[in-house]
Amino acid sequence: MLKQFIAPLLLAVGFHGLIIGLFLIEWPQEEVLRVADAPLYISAALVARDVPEQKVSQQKNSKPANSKPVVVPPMLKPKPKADQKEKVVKPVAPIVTEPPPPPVPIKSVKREPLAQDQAIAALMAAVTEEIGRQAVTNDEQILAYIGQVQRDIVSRWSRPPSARNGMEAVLRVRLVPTGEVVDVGVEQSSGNEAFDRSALLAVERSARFQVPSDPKLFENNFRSFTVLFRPEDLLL
Amino acid sequence: MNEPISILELVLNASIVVQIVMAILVMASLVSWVLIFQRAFLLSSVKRLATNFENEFWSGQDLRAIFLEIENSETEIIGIEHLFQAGFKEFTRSKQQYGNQAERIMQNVQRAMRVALAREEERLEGALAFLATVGSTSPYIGLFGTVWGIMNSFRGLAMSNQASLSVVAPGISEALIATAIGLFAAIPAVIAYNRYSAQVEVMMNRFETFSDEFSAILNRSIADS
Repeated sequence: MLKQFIAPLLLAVGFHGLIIGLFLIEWPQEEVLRVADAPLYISAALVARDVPEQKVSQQKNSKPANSKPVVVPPMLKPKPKADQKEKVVKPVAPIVTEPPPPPVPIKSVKREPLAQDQAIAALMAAVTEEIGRQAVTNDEQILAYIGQVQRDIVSRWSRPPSARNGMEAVLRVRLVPTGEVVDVGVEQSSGNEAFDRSALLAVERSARFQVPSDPKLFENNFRSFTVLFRPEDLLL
Repeated sequence: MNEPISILELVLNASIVVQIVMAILVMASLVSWVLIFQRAFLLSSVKRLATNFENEFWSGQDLRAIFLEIENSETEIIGIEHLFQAGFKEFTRSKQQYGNQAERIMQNVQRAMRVALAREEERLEGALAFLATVGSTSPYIGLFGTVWGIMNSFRGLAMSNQASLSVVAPGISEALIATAIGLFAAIPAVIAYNRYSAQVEVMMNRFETFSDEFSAILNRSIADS
């Protein structure tokens, strides 16, 4: 009588052991999955380039202006290692006024006012170095405006979750002399529609930029310019 | 803090009431699985025996030879063989006692077979009541453990100054394990109960048919002699 229960008992115990084992074994795997935490901050650099159709500046800046970068502004990589964890660091986006400027990253740009000044100073320094003797007095002024435009755009730019490092979208922005945006369009798509739209939205939200009151400076640098959107500090 | 809590940890840290509930449910599940396996073996062997025996019985062999074969076999006599053995034994005894009184002999034979049938039914349905009980009550037992655990974790929430999800979440998670175990015990038990009771019913019909046929054969043999 008892004998007929031995096999079922062994089977039942084995079955329960298997199920409990499955529960206990599978947990470590889940632990591994949980390691990826939400990113503490996202930052990016924004680079704007000027239009090639700047005939006037050529005259003004002597012939080689087209081939040589008049303003070269390297992207600021807002990666202050020290305060990464404390807050979301907003990137400062450099604007380039001439086509293809070699981006020179400047590090240690912080969002605090003091740090910002430093950053701008650093940017200036880098730019001054780059352009060397060719520097025009107006350039510094332009640069300050460019910096302002960058900050305006970056502060309004919220990247979609699908944004990845290495994506690049180039937008063409046209302004009227009061600084209002009259037209913005994608000149070179990043390939990701959401990313392009976020960039467009950032410019549209800015609506109005501070531009030099000097009509010449405005015409040369701000009538129409391109902005390069390139996230650099995403986790992916 | 961000480490996931393992189920084992939850079970070990559960309050004593919840642990008792879990232990009862695990035991219930274990026993019901033992019964499920044991029933499966028993029912399949009874079915196999019945098929074999009916083949032998209707092959026209001498009933006495079949009876002796069954009596001499060392294995336990179960199922349809038990019916046959009880009926035939009673038939030979009554025949010696009452000679040709067909009515009395058949009454005794039928009574003996009814008893054997009842025994067999008892044997086949033995564990089904337990499976039914586990199937219907273990969700409630698990639910009791869960309610108790949640009650405690909300009491803990009332006592702590900072009401946050992390205060109650482990308690609720731990309490829900009780319901999970309850369902884990109940579902196989219910399925097994339904399946086995259907099979037992089929078997019993088969046995009844056989006992009717067998008593008809015996009756005829008395009339012939």
